[in-house]
Order: sequence, then structure tokens, then C-alpha cells
Amino acid sequence: MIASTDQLGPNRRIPGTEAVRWFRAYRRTRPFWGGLWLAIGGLVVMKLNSYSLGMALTGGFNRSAGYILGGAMVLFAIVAWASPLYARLVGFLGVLAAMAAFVGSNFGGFLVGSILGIIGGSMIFGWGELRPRRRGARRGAAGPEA
Amino acid sequence: MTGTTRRWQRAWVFLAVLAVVVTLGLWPDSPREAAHAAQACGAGDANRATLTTKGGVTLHPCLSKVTTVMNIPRTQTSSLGCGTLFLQPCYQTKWQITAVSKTSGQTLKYADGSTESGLYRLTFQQFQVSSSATLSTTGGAGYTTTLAPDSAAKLGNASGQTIYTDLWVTADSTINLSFLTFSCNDNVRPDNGLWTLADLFIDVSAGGCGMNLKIRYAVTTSSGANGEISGAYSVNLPNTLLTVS
Repeated sequence: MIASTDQLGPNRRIPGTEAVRWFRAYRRTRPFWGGLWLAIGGLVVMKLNSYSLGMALTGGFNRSAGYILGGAMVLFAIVAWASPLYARLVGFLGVLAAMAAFVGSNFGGFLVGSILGIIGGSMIFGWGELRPRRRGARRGAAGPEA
Repeated sequence: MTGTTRRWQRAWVFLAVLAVVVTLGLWPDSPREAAHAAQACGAGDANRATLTTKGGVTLHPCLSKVTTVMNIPRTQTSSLGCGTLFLQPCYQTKWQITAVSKTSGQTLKYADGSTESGLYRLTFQQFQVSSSATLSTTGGAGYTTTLAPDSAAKLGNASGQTIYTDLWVTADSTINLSFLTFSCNDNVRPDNGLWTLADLFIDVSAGGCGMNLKIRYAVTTSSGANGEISGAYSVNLPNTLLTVS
């Protein structure tokens, strides 16, 4: 007879549950989604750059703008995750980098990178910390989720 | 949130902003901008060169010391049958001209104020390239342009006026030209007697098999007023493969 999960009791250990719970708490205590969009936008700007990294290293700002501004967007996304206290400042700088990439590097990755960056940076700017869910708390009873 | 965490977060933000600012500030200038700076021709353009073409057109270019090497390699077609007594190898014809001349004792003035003498001005009339030519510069490695037409690539000639190509080259430049007693087997330098003969036999069409010219300056003019190339001229590059490497 195969035991159903209900028969494992309240102390059951499902593999990965702790990791999911940790990630959920991590995600709720920092501007995760905004940072993700900003980082993806930065990668798109770098990917759709016209020059290889070797040429950019020898070519001044015109050639390297994609790497500098795209890299700045990725960097600000990582910093937003690492330093949620300064989300407003980092989000603002991320939006500035995304807008500069529009002018400096192939319309900011043919618009895609800049738009993702502006949206992500704005989400970081407007982020408010969520209270981490307590273990066993009922859904919807975790307090205000701004 | 503890003060330590707050300090760490502030440090991360500070380092990130500093990294971006430093990168923007310290990224090296482009070679193009550096080249512009190098080609400043002194106060009041005092260091501009004064050159006169074979057709009498006076030019005042601002010259860097970058040398363009135009190379057309020879391709042997048979080991005998050409040149004096037909005992020399034959080569594929890769370029044509309708006249060629040389003027020695040319001196160039460069943008940095230095001069170089002992140069030669070669003038090709109706210069056409029919096989692969390679242009490379001494200004940096990895900038080589290859021109490979499947028939004659030429500049102008559409409206019947003559096009001259004037090249200021160094003495160690060579061409391989099939002309009078010379064959493509000879690497002819600008100080060779062929050029004197060639000046005497103006408007004699000739075919060349190769060249290796170290060009300090090149200009193309027409037989029209002031040597200007205008009107119904064209650049003919029939099925030409242009590659830059």
C-alpha cells in the first residue's frame, strides 16, 4: 500500500521546502522583481551592443557605452537586492542608466533593454518591504502587504 | 535593522556608484579621437603639406605618419614564355594603366612639424585593379581592407575624362609591370630606369602583375577643371568582394 502524503503527519519533510521558504522570505524583503527586470534589461543592452568586448575596450565611450551602461544596470540591480534600504537611490540610478543606454547604445538594446530597465528601476524606486511570512501562518493573515 | 547592516548596505551602494563613475571617467579614448588629436596641424595649420599633382592641382593635406601599404601579390601562370627572349616566367595580369610616370625628390611635411624627403610621386592614369588588392595601414594591427573584383574595379572614367591617381611612396616600394623590355618578374623600384622610359612612352597601355607600394599620401584627380571629380563619374566595383579584417 502506498501511503498518501496526508498520512505523513504535520512534521513531514518535503525536499526543497526550506529552500522555497528561504527564497520567499528573501524575495519579500527586497525589491526582487524590479531588480530582476533591471538586470535583464542590462543584459539585453549588453547583448544587443554593436561591438565585441575586445573592440569596446579599445574604442572609447561610443563603442563601450553598451557594456558600461548595461553593466551599470546589472550592478544597480544586484545592489538593490543587497541594499534594500537604498532602493530609492538605486532605482533612480537604474532608470538613469536605462535612459542613457537608449541614447548611447543601439536605442538601449533596440528599446527592449531600456524599457525593461525603466520599468525595473521604477519598481525598485517604489518598492516597500513586505513582512516575511511566519511559518504556519494562514494565507492572508500575514499583515499588510504594501 | 542593525547599524552594521545599514553600514554595509551604504557601502555597497557607494561602491557601485563609484565603480560606474570611475568606469565612465577612465575608459580610454577611442583611436579615432586620438588620431584627430595627432593630426592637429599646428597653430594656424602651419604644418600642412603643400603637394602638387601631375595634373597641376595643388593640395594642402594634413598628414599623419601612417603608411598605407597597397599589396597586390603576383600569381605565376607559367615558368617560361615572358620577358626578355621569353625566358622569364609569366604572371597573371592584375592591374592596368594607360600611362605611368614618376617624379623624384618629393618632400612631405607632417602634422607634427617633421619632414621626410627622398620620396617619389607616382602617377597612374586610368588605374584599374582586376584582381585582389590588399590595403593595410601601419596605424594599427588588424585593419586590412581587401578588394577582390571579378573584373576591373575602377574609379570614374564614365564620362570620358581621364582619372589620375597620384601616390607619394617611399623608395623601397616596388611594382611588377609588363612594359617594353621589363617583365613582371622584375621588382621595379621608383628609382629604376623603367620609369624614365615610361614617361617617354606616355599613353601606352600596360598591364601589371603585382605591386607593393608604401604610400604616404594618395589622391585621385581628373583631367577636368581643378582636377575635381564631379558629374557623371562613378566608382565601378563589379562583383567586388570588399573585406575588412
